[in-house]
Amino acid sequence: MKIPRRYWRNLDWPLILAVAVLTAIGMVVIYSASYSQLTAAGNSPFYYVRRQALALVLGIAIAVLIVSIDYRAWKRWTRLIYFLSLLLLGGVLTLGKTIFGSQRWFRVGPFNIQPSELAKLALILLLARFLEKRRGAKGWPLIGQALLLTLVPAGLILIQPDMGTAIIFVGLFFAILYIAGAHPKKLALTGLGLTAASAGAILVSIKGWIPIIKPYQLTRLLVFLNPYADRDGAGWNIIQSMIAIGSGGFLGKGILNGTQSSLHFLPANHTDFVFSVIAEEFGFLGAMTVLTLFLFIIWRGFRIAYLAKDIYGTLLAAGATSIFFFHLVINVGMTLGIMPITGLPLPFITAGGSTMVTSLMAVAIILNVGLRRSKIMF
Amino acid sequence: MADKDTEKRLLLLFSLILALAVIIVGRLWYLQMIKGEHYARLADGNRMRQLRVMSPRGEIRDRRGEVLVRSRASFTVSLVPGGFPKEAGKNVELLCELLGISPEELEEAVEKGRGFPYEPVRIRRNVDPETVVALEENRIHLPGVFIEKEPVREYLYGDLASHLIGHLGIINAAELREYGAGYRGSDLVGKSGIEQTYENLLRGEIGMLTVEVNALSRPLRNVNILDPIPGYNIVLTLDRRLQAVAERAFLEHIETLEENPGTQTGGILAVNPQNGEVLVMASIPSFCPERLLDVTERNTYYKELSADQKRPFFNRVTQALYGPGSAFKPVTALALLEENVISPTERFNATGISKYGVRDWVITNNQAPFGLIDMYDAVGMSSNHYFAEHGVQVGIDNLSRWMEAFGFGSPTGLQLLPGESKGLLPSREWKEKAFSDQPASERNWYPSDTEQISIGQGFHQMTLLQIAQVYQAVATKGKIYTPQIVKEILTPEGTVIYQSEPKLSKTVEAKEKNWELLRHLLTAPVKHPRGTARTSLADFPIPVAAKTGTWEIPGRLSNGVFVAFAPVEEPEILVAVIVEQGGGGASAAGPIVRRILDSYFGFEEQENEE
Repeated sequence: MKIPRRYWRNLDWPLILAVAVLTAIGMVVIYSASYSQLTAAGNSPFYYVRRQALALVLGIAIAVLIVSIDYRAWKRWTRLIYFLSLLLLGGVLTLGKTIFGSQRWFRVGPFNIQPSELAKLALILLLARFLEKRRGAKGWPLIGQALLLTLVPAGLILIQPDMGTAIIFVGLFFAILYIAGAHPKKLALTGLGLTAASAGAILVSIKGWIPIIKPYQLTRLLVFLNPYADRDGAGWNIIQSMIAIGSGGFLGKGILNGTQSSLHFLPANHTDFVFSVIAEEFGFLGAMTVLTLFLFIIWRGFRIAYLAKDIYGTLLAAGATSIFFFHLVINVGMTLGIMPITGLPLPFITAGGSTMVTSLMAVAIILNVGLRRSKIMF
Repeated sequence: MADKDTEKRLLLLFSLILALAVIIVGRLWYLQMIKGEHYARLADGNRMRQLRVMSPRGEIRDRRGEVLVRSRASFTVSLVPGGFPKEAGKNVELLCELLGISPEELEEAVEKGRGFPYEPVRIRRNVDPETVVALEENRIHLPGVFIEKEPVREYLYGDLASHLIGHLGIINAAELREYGAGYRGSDLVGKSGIEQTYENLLRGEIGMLTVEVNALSRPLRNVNILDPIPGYNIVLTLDRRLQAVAERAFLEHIETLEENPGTQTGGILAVNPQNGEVLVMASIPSFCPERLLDVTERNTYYKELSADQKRPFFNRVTQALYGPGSAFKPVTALALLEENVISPTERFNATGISKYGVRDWVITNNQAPFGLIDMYDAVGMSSNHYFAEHGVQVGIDNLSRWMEAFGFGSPTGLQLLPGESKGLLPSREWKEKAFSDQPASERNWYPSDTEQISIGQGFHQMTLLQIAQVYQAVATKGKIYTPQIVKEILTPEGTVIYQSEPKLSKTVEAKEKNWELLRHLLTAPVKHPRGTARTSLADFPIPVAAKTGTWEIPGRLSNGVFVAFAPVEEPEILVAVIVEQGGGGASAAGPIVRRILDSYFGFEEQENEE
């Protein structure tokens, strides 16, 4: 496929650069975080870095493919992609691999594929298409239908169970519908309704009437409210993460020198709690650098959404950008002890193939919209 | 380009995102910049373990420098309760299996560490190397488990002098408060004897090892070490060989007794009357301090000892109170001489039964009365009639004064825990007070009471130490030296920081000629043709003074007392033995004293007790 030369100028190079820097930081942190564990077991310290690099290459290839096809050409495939993702989500529940008590992965070759990551992108495509068609509507019918389209995949993910990703789906729904022009008050009411429903689900679970929420999820929620209530159990993760971050101070302890991380006080240090390692080893300065890069990416994404040629492009770009935002807030918030533990990855940094590939796909969607923003270009 | 409304909404959403970002940055600032030091300390607390390195407890040696008790390096398994996952029932099972203890014992041990969840508590001491290897192999399943090197106490002569040496035990709440800093809930402290009395000197100073550990509490490297300082070594006045002879003599002799052979209890004391140094101190039955430290049998052994009706922990030299029987008579004799009640050569017709009913043993045994006897005869044959009759003449008030001079009713000043009993000083005032809740007829002092006191029966209550004190005074013509058991205290390097000196406790003031006379009178039981101590000591090669005593207990066999010192002119050893319910002092205790004296003066083949 040949990309016309003038497209190169329209590619958002600052965005690409920011992603590249974040990915590089991610590699360094993964190396540092997994070093002691890998070497202690006699493995190469580059084991996770190599896998991450492999995912990066794969992701870039897919991203190039996505960028090269005009986003408006995807519309035809939207419904197919959506149903396919629902099928995969259903399939993972029956055929998937159970890791840490939840069925989220398909095993394909050396990789575990997480369909919920792909389903996020499918939802964005579907909502953008749906809202473009219903342009001008802003009332209950629109909100209701869009909510239904969101809750079907979100529900399947909740069953896995993967509360974090399900929350992201709901978050994406609100972000996209708000930008599409849905009535803010009615959206707010919908939010209240969902909150009340969740609170109800928690209540009946606590009371033990209907076990909607699994006990470990309930523990995580309760522990979030007071980590010291179960210091050696579920609260351990939050406390150790806060100790890691706090002890990093301004400049950090240096690469490989994070005691919380390298002595394994910090659990899942190269995956869910990778931000804690950054804050421990590179201090406030390092953590701020990462946060700034994310905000920069989000700003570029919103800028492209603003500049987009059509509402479909705007919604696609804003939706894809929102993914990064929600992951950032929930993941970093968790490590800082201001969000419940959910097990959501930090895009570009957390070691994990599915996350890396889908994050790059989301970047490709944004770039694609940006690339084809102006009529003059065509 | 988006329309105006969309632009507004994009801008609003981005502002919301920025606001949330500010919250995250604020939280980051709070954790890293404001609470940074706090969390840095927590992180260090996570990875650093302060392991206490126990100091080797000081040695206890006998007067010749022979080591009686020492410390040997061993492995101790400890647990950091905070690092041992609660829900891990399998870990508990595994640990208990490897250590050979029950889950209850583990629970009990962990309970001791309450209040210091991140400090190791000892689970099992003196673990063999095989167990250490097994633990290391299972390290991954046993987070929070430590193996430390720690000295264990070795008692080289088993139960020898157990009451004097004492034993160790796990510190209790009261002791923890008393000793304070430096002690932890699972530490061992002295519970009796020298081990308890000199706890602060023997213990030394605990060292501190700072190690870096991972989340499984596996030590990775030593960060800092503060070496422990060994405890001071204590040299006793005790003669280990003589002690062994004495204990063996007691146990072997009671086997030969006619009634209930082998079941008798009692005490042995040997001191140098010239300086108060204790050469032998034994209480029968004894206990084994090392078995009280062994984790596998500690509890059962302790229970066994505590339930034993013979009370093995009870020190029969310093704590038990006895009546002296006729061993008291030297006090009466001195009072008679000093108060000029009767001349020692004056003859008295001992018909065998006194005015208030005291009988001579010849009467009890249906033999002819002693008849005309002087004081020498009276002491030699131990005439109750003679001393009862003249005791009444000298009067209780005089007698009380003399008893007080000999130290009755007050402790001797021996530095040994548990503390000695002070006994009582019989007197009119004492009786008035002791029976204050009774009618006057019970509170009044009667001549019959004086008769009993004069012959060592009645209200008397004293320790074997106090009985010995009477003879110490006779041996030194009035000087009573405080009994001492510690000869020297040495630093680990060998510098003497304490050396005992004779401490004059009290002087019994009496005329020189009366002391001479009393000493002479006390040879009568050995030399007199009908002397009560003849059977044991008549053929003793060195001039020896001795006196028997028999404390009558209604309905039971008597307690036999025997006291001797030698050589008579320059006494260097004084031996006092009591055999509870062993019968008369001559037969129950005499042969034991003889064997101790034989050994001391080298008249017997050195007993091969090793």
